[in-house]
Amino acid sequence: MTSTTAFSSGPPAGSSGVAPVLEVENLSTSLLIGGTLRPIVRDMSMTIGAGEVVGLVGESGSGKSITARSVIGLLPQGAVSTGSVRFMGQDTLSMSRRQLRGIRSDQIGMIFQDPRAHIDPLWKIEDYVGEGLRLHKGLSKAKAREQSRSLLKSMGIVDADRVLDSYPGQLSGGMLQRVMIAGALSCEPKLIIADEATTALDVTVQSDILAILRGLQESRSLSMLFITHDLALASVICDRVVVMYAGRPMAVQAAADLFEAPAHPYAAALVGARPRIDQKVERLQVVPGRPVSALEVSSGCPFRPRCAYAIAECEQMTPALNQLEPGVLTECIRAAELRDELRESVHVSH
Amino acid sequence: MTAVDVATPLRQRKWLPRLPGSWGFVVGGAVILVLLVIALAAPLLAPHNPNAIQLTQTLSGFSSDHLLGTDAAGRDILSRLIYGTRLSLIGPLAVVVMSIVVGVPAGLVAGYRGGWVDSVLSRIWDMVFGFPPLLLAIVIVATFGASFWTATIAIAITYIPLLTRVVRGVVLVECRNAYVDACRIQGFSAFRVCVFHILPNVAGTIVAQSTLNFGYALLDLAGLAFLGLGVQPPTPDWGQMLSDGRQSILFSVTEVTVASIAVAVAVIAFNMLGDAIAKQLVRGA
Amino acid sequence: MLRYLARRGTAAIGLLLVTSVILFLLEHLAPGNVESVLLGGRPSTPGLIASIRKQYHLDAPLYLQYWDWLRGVLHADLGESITYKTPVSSVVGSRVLPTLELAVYAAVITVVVGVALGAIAALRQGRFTDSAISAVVLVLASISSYVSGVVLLVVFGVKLGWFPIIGTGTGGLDRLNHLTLPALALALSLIALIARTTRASVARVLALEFVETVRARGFSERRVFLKHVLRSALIPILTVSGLAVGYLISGAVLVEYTFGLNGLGSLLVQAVEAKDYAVVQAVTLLFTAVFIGLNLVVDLLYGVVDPRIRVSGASA
Repeated sequence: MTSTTAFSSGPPAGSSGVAPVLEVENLSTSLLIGGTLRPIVRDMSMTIGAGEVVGLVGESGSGKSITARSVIGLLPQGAVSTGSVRFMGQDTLSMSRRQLRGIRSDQIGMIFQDPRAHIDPLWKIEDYVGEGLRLHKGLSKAKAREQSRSLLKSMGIVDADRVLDSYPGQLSGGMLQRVMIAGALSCEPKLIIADEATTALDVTVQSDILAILRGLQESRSLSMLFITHDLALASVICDRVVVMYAGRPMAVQAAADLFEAPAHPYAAALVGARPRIDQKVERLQVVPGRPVSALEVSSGCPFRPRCAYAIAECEQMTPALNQLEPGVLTECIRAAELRDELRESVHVSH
Repeated sequence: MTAVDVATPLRQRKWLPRLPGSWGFVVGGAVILVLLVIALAAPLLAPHNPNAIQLTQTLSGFSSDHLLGTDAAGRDILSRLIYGTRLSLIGPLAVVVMSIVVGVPAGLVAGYRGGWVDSVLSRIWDMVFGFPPLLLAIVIVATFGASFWTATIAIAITYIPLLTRVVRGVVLVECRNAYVDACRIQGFSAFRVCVFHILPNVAGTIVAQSTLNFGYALLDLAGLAFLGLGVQPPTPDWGQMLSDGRQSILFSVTEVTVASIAVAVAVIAFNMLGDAIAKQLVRGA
Repeated sequence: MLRYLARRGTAAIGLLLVTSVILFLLEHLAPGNVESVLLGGRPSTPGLIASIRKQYHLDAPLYLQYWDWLRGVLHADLGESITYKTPVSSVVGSRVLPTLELAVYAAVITVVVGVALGAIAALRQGRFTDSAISAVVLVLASISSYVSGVVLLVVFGVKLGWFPIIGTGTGGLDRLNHLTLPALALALSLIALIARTTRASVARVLALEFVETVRARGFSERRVFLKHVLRSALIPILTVSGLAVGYLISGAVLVEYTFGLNGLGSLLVQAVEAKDYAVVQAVTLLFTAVFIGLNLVVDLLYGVVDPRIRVSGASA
């Protein structure tokens, strides 16, 4: 991201005292894999305030997507979620299918990674974007088209009419991602879940899409859950980030602080493993070891086997998020004593 | 991330093992084995001469002498059923052999050579395929007269393109493997590569398809006999029995019932075995 | 799209021509066939045969004979039936309706039941319903229309007496009543074909990502299935439906014979037995034309269902 300054990270709104849009508490989700329930997400907790952008970062398989899908009940058959997920004060875990559909229709919008795979190829763009407007908002075909056109225009699409008359196969990936965002925003949701929304795109297109997302988020004061494995991306677009590992939240802190003062050895390791363009390095640092998923974890801190700072107590501890300082949560029991060391480790690698 | 997280529908716990699974192999194979024994031992098993006409005892019900009763000509139904097994197996066997003899080389050449040979052969198969199979068989029988062998050859002609297409398909896939290139580089002749290297690797598919074809050919041949266009009376044959039984259905349903059960059981057995072999191939690959 | 259709149309006409050549050649290659057909019941003397050969230009080159014959076919003149002593076109014409009714009735049953069974199995993947449907489909796929026809006759016609056993009936409901068992017999094995394809196709589409998007946007499961999943699943089902037309025609021959219906199928069988080759040619050509025509319609429907075919065809 070269245009870092374009996105000013606002103050964390979660701490402003207004009731949060989304509150996740001790969420655990298990999926049915090969006939048995396997835990994928464990004791996940986070909040998203009104107009706040929260990033969910972590390596592949850390449970980011399943956390997001648990929120709107979009899990495969046989999945079980426990804990509590409150959206605008309502518990979505205990909702009926019909109620969940209601929430998905005009309260929460979702943007997926690969727009080409995630948009029905047999439908015109007009029908894709307008489907929600016509079914959920009861607009006529003409009205829906009118509104779809202005949505696309607001996304910087100049020839909106041509796009509306096209089929997905005729458009580029970047254009399709704008279309998907338009579809997700069409019914004016309060919360947007963007699941690796820019990962599949070219870098230049990626920054366009990010600018659009951030712009829309600010102009409509949307809340957003931004899922990515890209720390730099998260630090640019998010107010706060939740670092996930093995289905658990490792740390929660302001995005701006992540690179300066990581609140967890795992966060520090991720920052250190990031390739940098402003510096020639002999060898890329890697987080040692192999990432584990929630179902492989036995007891203690799940990051312990890969952690350079692990001590005996790490094996006995019961993992839980604790406040390190105002606005910063961590699961690491040594976070306070390691504060300077972690800060330094990031700077060394810089 | 997507590998774990994308919400794909998961296979749930299975209440029943899928029918064409591994026990399709056992059940289908066992039934076919029994049919084979019956066909071979027909003279020992049949209580009567299948063609012995007894006009005093037509359409009789079940009795100790005639376990399944007699047909409209007073012939013992059980004996005809047992003897009928022979032609019902020989016909499809001939069809399968003929389709392999022609279809496998044609499919190998088309798949291995590609290019114009492939497109010419494909055009021909498309044409034969474009013709409803039974219709083609009926036209052939109409030209050359109804008999067991005319019917068998006619049905075989409709199965050749099917097998050719299947073989061509797997050969095309097989040719993408590195070992085929390795053989070519070593300068082996096309014949050698096809017969000694590709053929053994596609043999499983040929066996699976031919097993399925066996069942369907049995069905088609019995159908032609049923229409009076295959095996000619009085030769005992299941299709023939269906036709005879159809004539006297208002008086006795025994003959059509046992004949249709025989045909259905045999075909289902071959289908199960064929499906099981195909499944095994997929799993083994 | 136009180009694509033009190519398909040309192929269809070519296929029809090839079929006509085969039919023509088969008649002429079989030794003595033509003469014996033309002789009808008359005693065969060398003089009579010679005059027949002269009258029908049998000594002319084969391609000229074919050309004469084809011209006749194109003018709906297929010669005279030796059994009915009337023009073949009128014999065939009088038999079209029962076959058409039977085929349409069976096709409707096949599509409705086949797609429904396949879709239900796909939606209940791996559960009991799926296994049960798979088992039923395996049995249905293994039996032909004449076997199921005979079984239906025995059970519903003879034992239960719910349906008439023979004939086409007269007018309206009675006709429908007479056609129900034959149509069902014809439909059963085709249902298996359609259901298998539908299950595989729907299951494949259900695993596609865009279905998740539709769900995430809060549309009802019914809408997800009918408007998005089923439409995407339709192409393979259409392909197989084109193939099924062939089976429908073959099956009609067997079913008409089983149930004693006076349609084209039983006409064909009677004509084969009577060596009435002109009728055999006419019925076969008609069946082939219908098969090729309907497959052309299927090609057209691809474009209707899938814009990608339409669009790429237009730009090509």
